[in-house]
Amino acid sequence: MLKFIVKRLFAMIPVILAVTFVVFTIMWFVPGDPTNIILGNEWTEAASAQVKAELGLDRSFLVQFLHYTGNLLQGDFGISYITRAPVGEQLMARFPNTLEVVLGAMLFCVLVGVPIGVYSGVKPYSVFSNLTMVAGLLGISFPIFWLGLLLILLFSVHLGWLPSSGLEDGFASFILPCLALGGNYMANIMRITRSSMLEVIRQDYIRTAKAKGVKAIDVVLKHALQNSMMPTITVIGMDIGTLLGGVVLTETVFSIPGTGRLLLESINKRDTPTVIGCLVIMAVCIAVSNLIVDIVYAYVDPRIKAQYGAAKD
Amino acid sequence: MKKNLVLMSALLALAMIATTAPAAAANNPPKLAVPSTKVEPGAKLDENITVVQQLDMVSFDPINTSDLSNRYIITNIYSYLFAQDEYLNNVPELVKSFKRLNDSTWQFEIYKGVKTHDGKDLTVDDVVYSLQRTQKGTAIGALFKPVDKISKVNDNTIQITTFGPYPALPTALTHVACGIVPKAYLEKAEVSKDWSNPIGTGRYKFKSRVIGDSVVMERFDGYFNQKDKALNKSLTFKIIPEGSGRTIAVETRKADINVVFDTVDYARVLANANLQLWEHPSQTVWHLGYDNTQKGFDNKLVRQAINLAIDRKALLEVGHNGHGTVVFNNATFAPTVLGAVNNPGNKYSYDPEKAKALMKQSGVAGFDTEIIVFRDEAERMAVLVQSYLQAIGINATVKRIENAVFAQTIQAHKAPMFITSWGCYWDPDMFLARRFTKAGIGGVNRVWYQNPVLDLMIDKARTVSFDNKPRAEVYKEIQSFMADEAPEADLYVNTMYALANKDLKGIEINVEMPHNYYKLHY
Repeated sequence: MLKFIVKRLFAMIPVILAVTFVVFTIMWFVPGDPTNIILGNEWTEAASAQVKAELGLDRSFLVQFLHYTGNLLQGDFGISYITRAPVGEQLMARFPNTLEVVLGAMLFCVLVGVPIGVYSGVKPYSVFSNLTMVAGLLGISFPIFWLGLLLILLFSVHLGWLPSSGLEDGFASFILPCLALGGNYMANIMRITRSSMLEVIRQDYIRTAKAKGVKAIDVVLKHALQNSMMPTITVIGMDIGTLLGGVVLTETVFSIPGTGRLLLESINKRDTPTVIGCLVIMAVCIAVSNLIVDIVYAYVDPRIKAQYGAAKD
Repeated sequence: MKKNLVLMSALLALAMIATTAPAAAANNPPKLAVPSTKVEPGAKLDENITVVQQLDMVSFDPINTSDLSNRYIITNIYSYLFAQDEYLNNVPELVKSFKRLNDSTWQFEIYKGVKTHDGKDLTVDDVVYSLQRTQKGTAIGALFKPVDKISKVNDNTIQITTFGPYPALPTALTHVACGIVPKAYLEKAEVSKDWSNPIGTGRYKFKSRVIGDSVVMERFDGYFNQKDKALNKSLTFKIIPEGSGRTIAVETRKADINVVFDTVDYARVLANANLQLWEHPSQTVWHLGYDNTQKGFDNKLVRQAINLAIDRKALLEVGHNGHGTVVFNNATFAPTVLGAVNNPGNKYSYDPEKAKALMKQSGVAGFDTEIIVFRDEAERMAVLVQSYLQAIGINATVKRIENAVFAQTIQAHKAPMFITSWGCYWDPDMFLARRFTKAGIGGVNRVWYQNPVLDLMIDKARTVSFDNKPRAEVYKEIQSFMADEAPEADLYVNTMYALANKDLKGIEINVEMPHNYYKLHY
């Protein structure tokens, strides 16, 4: 297993390089000149040339790319075209906030979505199941920014219970962003868990367990749940990437200083080093989450664990 | 199915009830932000003030950018030779006295005993080094182009020579890039590129910054002019990109003032007795520009016809919900600018019939064109302009592009028409040449207009006198000339708003510069 993990971690290096190349190339060809943003109304050809020389933008694509990649492999994300400050510093300041929101949202999705999905699967025609399916449908249908604004209006403005923006109120600051971001994906996890549970609960071995007099709760938790979890784990792993996409909107609506908002602002300002920095961090997150999902598979499904063992032999 | 529908309806009804605001009644109209510097007895002068703005700052290096969001923050840290008061007068800050030796030589005596935030004395060498760096930088651009040399005369005095008469020099010295930074700090920062702990001589000392979230500064008790020190204990700038989020921050008292108010919340805040909306005419001139070198727009009569074909009041309504003043001078003079005339010779009004007649007279048959926009307000207006132009035979399509691409589109002559805004300065000498002469081609002369007659007039306005009265007369002539030339169609100047808690005092909405937050108190 350790060998598998190490191998996967090393496989991230070409992924990072590929992401860097693709983003660098896109940013190179996309219309828009960062000196227009930097100089604004003071833009002149001479001033633009001066800024380009200062930032090294007057060099060829290949020279710029190789220079950037060389620095990146040494952990240097470069200097922002706009702030002229190290991109690494900005990422260090902002990434923990993004991670907290994403993990909080994921935790919310799992802690709420899975139990509801399991219960709805076990009691598929109950009022509760119908109610949760309607809520799930709404959850999937609500755009994040709209749900975020509604939550702010209800819990911050009308009720005054929770802060509307920023992170200075500690745990309370994370509740609404995690609800807004997680609401959409929670519905997805809930529906997948339900359908998976519905399928497993009709299997012969479940009927056998029931016939043998195993308690209903034990049938669900010990026999059905583990076997129905594979699709849910897959969806959770895939949703990390989607959550990282959704965090751009969440951070904007809730004014959270994270990498999602930084990414959006940097794209608008054609700040290539910052864009690449944000996307590399996100790519690493997705790669790591996929690795974690693979490891969890092994613990949930003994057949996969056996395969890892066989590979080792 | 029926059960599901009932449940869904109930959920939706609950959500709507929970999030619907009570019916708004405008019982608290906006007040004109006429600043009162008088501090009343019993005023609370040790409050911590939180200001919300839309965008984060860029850098504490004053010559990095002239970005407005950056300016709002860093001008509190640094001192300037001149500052602007609430009426846009240039008032000396670090300058004790100044004199003009001749038309192109100025001497400025600097106050003694000015302390920096790290407890040292500010010297004339610091001032000279700082301004020389500004001159070499790109952020101040054209405003320092007339400046030839900055030098030290003695331990109290600096000298600035210009290439010719430059009456706007004191105004140029109020620019954010002219913030004075001690030489020792600059030399260190130029090598390390580290501006994370700025040192200045301004009313506030930097305390902390969370990138993308907030900047905190506290009152500098060693500020050299104790009679004009900060009236609050600390200033926190909170960054909230979303418009309603900024309003809510003030509503929920997480912030004291929102200086970038989004009018989408206008009716709601007027109904809230705990809030006060402050307003002031801005100097942001929204205009319909067109490439004067392109066929059709190179004809003066066509340009005049366009000016007559558009209903500016309707455009103000769709662009800014009617909050502003329509303008017709076609030289981007906001009503508050030196010598401004709103509608020179009453040349223009909404007159489609006269516009059609002018089109006929021009001999230009109808043609196809494109209106480029990159903002929501402009896009809304463009749709209306499209219909006005159609009435005089010009078929326009509307194309939305990104902000980052706009300048390049102009530079490539790919914007035959466009709608955008221009934040003008009080002194027209600081923008006229850039907007309508060769000097601005490729830059902010987006309409590609050039005329030797105008060049001479701009030069005359600069050299006629150092007194503003004769200069204003020349600027009136320029506006009459430009109204006739119609190189663009100026539309309106929008109103600026700031939303504050009702008890907050010392609010100043300065149309050109940061809003002197040091006066805020309860």
